[in-house]
Amino acid sequence: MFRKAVTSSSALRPLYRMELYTDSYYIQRIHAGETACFACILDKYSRQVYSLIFKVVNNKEDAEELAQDVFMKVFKNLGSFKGDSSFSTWLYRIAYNTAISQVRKKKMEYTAIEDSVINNVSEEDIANVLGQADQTGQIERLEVALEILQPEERGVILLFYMKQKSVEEISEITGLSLSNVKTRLHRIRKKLFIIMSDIKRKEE
Amino acid sequence: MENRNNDLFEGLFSRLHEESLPEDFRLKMMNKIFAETRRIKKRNERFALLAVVVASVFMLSLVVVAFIYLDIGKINISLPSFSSLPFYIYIGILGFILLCIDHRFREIYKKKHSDKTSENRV
Repeated sequence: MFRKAVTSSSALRPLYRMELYTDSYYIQRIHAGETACFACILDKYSRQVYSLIFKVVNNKEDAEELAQDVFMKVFKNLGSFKGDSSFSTWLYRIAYNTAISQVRKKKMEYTAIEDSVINNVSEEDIANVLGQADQTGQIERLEVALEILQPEERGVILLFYMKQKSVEEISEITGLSLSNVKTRLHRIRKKLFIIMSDIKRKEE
Repeated sequence: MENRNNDLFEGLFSRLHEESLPEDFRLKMMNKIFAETRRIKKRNERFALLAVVVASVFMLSLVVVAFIYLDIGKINISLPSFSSLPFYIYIGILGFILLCIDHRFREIYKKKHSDKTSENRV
């Protein structure tokens, strides 16, 4: 019993430390020569960065390699981080650009949906279909639909919904204007809805 | 778009499976970071050495310029007599031999000491 308690408290210790110090504190210490502090940044962000890259590139090995590249870039360019945006926004910008440029190199073909079809979709249609009870099926369809989207679109929608980034933050990460991000988000949601409905229709 | 609470996609995305990291990712990454740190340190050392060499060459060339082109007067250096030179050489050799013996003894002592500590550890 005692042993169990000790193990669980030691397991919580890194998490406690992580919450205690801010990103800028770790950055200052790394600048001061304490390279080992980079492990704290890794503990805090590696999973989030990896999952985003994985969803964009859709390949485990590539995602791992790219995540390593991202953190190496972060480490090498830590001196150029001025704190104009939050550290996580800066980190996500590097991750997003690295993942997108990797996918562009592969020159894959993606399904295009006509503008008229996208414009015909209303928010009510989305609410009616997504509001249905079959949540497990919808999640599966969403995963397939995400794979069909273009990588840039996938990145934007994942940053918004999965990483809970605001429109302003997505604008900083992707380099798009605020209005462009908003328009894209609307269009991507509708695109997702169209693809998901199409998959459902085929299933039936 | 800003109102996330009423967004049905929000609920779906929150339930999406998030891929977990490979177990050795942290270890691999930190090894890379430490290797990069060592590389940067070596590069900085090389730059520092190069800076010293460049500065020394610059100073020497300044001296040469000063002597040759600026016509600085000749400097007379008076050498001491060499009559006591054998004695100094003898003292020097003696000092060097003692230093070598001291170094050898220290090596033997360190070797014995490290053997004992490793035995204690086992």
